Amino acid sequence: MLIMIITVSLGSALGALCRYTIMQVAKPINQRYALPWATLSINLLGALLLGWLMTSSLPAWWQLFLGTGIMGGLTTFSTMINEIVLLAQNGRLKLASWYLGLSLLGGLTTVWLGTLL
Amino acid sequence: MTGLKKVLAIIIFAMIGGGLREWLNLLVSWPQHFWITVIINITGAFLLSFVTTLLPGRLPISEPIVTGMSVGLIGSFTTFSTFTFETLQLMQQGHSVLVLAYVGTSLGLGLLAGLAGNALSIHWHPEDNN
Repeated sequence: MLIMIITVSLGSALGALCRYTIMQVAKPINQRYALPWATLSINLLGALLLGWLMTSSLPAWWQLFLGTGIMGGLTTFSTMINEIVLLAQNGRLKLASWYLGLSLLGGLTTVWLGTLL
Repeated sequence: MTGLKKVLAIIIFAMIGGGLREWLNLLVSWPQHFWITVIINITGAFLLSFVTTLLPGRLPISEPIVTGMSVGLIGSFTTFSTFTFETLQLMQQGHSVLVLAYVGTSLGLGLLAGLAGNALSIHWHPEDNN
C-alpha cells in the first residue's frame, strides 16, 4: 500500500511541475483571452494521455505512476471549477458555460480518443 | 530565488496532495469506487479559495507556500483526467443513470462548493471585517 502511495506521490509532483511550467509559459496567452485556455489544454491533454495509458498494455506500476500519478497531478479539477466561478462572478456567464461545456465534451472526446490509440 | 522556492514548494505539496488522493483511493472499498473521485474533486474545489484568498490574509504565509498549496496540494489532490476516464467507463458500460449522477454531482456540487468556498473566503477575509 505504501509503495503505491509513494508512486503516485512522485508522479503527482512531476505532473504538478509540468502544469505550473505550462501555466507560466502560457501567462501572456491567458492574459489576452478571457477563456482559460491553459487549464483547458492541460486538462484535455491529460485526459487523452490517461485514456491511452489506462487501456495500454503497460505494467500496473507504470499505469499507476504515469496515469494516476503524473496525469492526476497534471490535470486539475479544482482550478477549472474556480475559473468557472470567477468568470460567472465577473458577469461572463456565457463564457463560463462555454468553458464548462468545452471541458466536459472535450475531455470526454480526448479520453475516448486516448483509449483508441 | 522565489522561483526556486516555489518549485520546491510545489514538489513537496504535490507529493502530499497526490499521495492523499491515492491513500483515499486505497482506503475505500465501495462497490461503486468512483464516488471517491467525486468527493475528492468537490472537496478540492471547496478548499482552493481558502488557500489562495483566506489563508494568506489571515496567516503570515509566504508566497511560495501559497503557490505550493494551491498549485501543488489542491491541484494534485483533485484530478480532471480520472473524472473523464471514469465517466467514459460508465458510458461504455451503459450505466446512463450513473453517468448523469457522476457528471451531475461532480460538476453541480463542484460548482456549488467552489462558489461557497469563494464566498466564505471573502466573507472571512480580515480586510472585509474592518
